[in-house]
Amino acid sequence: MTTLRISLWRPMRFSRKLYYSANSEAQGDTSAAEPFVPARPEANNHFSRERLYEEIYSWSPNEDVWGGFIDENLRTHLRNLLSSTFDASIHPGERGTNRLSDFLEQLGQAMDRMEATAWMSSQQPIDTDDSALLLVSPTHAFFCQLTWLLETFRDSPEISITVR
Amino acid sequence: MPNTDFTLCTIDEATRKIGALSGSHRTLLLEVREDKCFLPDQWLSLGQIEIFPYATANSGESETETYTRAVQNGSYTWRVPLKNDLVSGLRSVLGTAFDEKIPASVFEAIQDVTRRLSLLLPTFDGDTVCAMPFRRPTTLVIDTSSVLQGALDFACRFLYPMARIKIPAVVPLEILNMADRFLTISRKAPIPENRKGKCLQEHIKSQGGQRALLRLEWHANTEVERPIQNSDPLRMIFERDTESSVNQLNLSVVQRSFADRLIFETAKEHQARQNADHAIGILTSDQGLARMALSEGMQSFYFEARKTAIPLGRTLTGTLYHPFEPRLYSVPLTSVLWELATCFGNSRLRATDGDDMFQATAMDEGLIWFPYQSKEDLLWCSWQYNVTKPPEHVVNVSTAEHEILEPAPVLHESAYVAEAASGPADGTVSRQAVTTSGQAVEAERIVGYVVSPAALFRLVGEIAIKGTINKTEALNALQVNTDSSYTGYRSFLVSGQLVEENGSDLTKLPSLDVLWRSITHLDYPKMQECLSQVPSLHSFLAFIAEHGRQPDWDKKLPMRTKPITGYTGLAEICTAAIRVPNQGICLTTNTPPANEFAEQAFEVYSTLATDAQWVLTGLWLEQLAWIKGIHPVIARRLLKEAYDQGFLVRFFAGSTPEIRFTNHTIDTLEITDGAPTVRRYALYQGDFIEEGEASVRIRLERRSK
Repeated sequence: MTTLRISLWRPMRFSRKLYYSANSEAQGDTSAAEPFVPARPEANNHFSRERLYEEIYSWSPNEDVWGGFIDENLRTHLRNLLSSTFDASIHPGERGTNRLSDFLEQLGQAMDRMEATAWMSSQQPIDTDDSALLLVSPTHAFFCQLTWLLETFRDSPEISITVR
Repeated sequence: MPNTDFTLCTIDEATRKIGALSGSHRTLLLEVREDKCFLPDQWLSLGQIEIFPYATANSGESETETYTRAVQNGSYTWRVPLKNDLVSGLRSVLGTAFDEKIPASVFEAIQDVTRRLSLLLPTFDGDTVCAMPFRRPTTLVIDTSSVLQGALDFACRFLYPMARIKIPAVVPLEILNMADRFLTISRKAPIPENRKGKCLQEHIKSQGGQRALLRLEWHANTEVERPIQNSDPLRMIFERDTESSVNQLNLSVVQRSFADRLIFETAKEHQARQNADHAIGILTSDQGLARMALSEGMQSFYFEARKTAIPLGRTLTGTLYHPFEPRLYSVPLTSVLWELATCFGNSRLRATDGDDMFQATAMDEGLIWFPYQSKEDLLWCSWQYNVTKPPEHVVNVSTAEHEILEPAPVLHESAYVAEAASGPADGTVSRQAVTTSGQAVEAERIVGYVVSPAALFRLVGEIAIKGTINKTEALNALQVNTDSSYTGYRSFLVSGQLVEENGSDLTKLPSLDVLWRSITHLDYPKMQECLSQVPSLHSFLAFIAEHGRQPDWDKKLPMRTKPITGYTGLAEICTAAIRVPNQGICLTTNTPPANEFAEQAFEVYSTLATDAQWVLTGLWLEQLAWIKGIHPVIARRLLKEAYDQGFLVRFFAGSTPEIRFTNHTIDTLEITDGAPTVRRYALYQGDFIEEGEASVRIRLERRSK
């Protein structure tokens, strides 16, 4: 089972001025360290504040969210779509909540087919009987979770998403 | 057993009864009713509930228990109707009392119910969610909107104990005022038509809010602080309601801004008594209160619950992912019923066909209320299900003047298809019933009997050994204690001319010995031949031959829902058919010789092994049945024969079972200590095809001799 992790990010909010050392002090020769001058963006060791993001929300289900799809092709397609849409190598501006909305639309369409609504055993025992595992419709539950995320952060500015 | 009188039930008792109801009807209608406002006997439909039972390897667990477990642990979906359907439903139930403001109240009520139950979550401000879950103790001062619209339930379920709940006195007072308004309007008998809408609104709001507070106090582990508030300011938050339709009733409404200020002052007072770094916020969906808090340096945990993620037209599910932790949470179906009953007065689950139902009532003129009912969360319930109607078939067989049904001959698949095709053009199955005078009579529905294969075989064995048994011995063999449970088995055997009735005794006929021998010797062809003498099972198999290859075959089958499981089990056990979830059910009458089996097995394997050599064994077995008509039990035997005779080589791998497909099961017959037992295998578990060897995946290779 592949563990999914969805993270939401926004640009780091600085309350103070930052200093970023271009050389590592682990080399032991601090005399060779050159202080970074943030006001000179043309410097080769330019540090861009806009490239620093903080994680504001993270979610990992510990279940196979794709298990509801009996159709192997459909499952693979949606899994790859989600991963490729929100890969960390993509510019943050290209993996915002609008892309999540597009993905949810595709997921919703797939759910309309019978194969997408299968119920299966989870990894979690039910409260009253350790020998029985909780049943879940992973597709429905995943759709609800993503919808809630989208509704919460839809209009928040500069939100980007990664899926690992 | 029908119970048309009301009985106080706990949630657990109701869960068991709903489990028993859903054993016969997997899909149920969810309906509500408000006695004072709705027209007589009119119920408003709130959609369909579909229940997904737990498949269990314990064959001793009854069907009711598997459904009860599903009800209790959220294994259901709730298809909420579209807005237009609700509006037209409201017009029907309210008649002339309908006005344009009422639908909005009902939509809000449904939203509030789904959020109080956590079937949907409130939409919080993004900055608020960033702070969740709280890493340090945080006090949440709640207002009335967070009680009604589910944010309080959200905090209790997902944020407690780091979230500390504080309820200002104005909140229960405001909800009490709502209840007072509702009761004042409803006690004016009869309620004028132009006030029914207002009565319904006040009922929904007030009772839902009161239940939320009662649940918090008596049925949740959440610790709540209720600060003492002087009565002077509380007295002043109400003013007279001057709305035209109710101004004669001397009702009160809340001065919103003053009530908000009291809530805010509660928060400020709490802040003054805590450490400077203790986080305090107001949980509200009231913009005015949230802005006031922000403008005075107080954090607000603002949420929107009625304009976003509307449940109308959606399919909700009872098991969901925790928004912050890597685990699931579930919402019992009974809780949905309880919440709706409290809001509207009455709620029920009703079978889509027939009168079977379970009803919960929170408020009725003829029912009394005492505090213990709220403490123990009891509601008045009535139910009707498992009402036994003697099958027409039994009446016919036992009465000489009626038609006598001749046993159907043993047929192969093509013959099943031919017989089904000769029926009416609309696809219903016909049985040729031959009267004593030779006239043919057609019956459209298949009269099925509720039987469990394991119990049936025990009964067959008892009769085969003893020759004649009385009712007590039959009940002992079946391990039941009610006549209604026994009737189906008796009718099944009598209709197949396997036994004859002598008063209340059953005496075996020669065909029963043949059946028993086929069971104890696992002679599947003979078993099929004997069981096919039962006309209903024969018709069932004929229907499968013609219409089984579709996912909703069971919905199109002209048979009651409850016998389907037993008939499917019998078909699987005698290797006549196999059910493949999400595809349908197919006949499996192909038993080729080993060399031909090897070719067919390899052909199916090749179509599946396109990307990898290893194929899921369960998938291979199912497709072998679906495409080639070879039952998994037969395939298991033929695979060994083909291997022993050198027609192919098979390899097994994988000890980690595929948990995605635990509902892909098959019932098989095994002989244990000389007695037949029914064993259920999960085909993807990896323990079916080879004894003692993990075989989740299979690889086949040709071997030429």
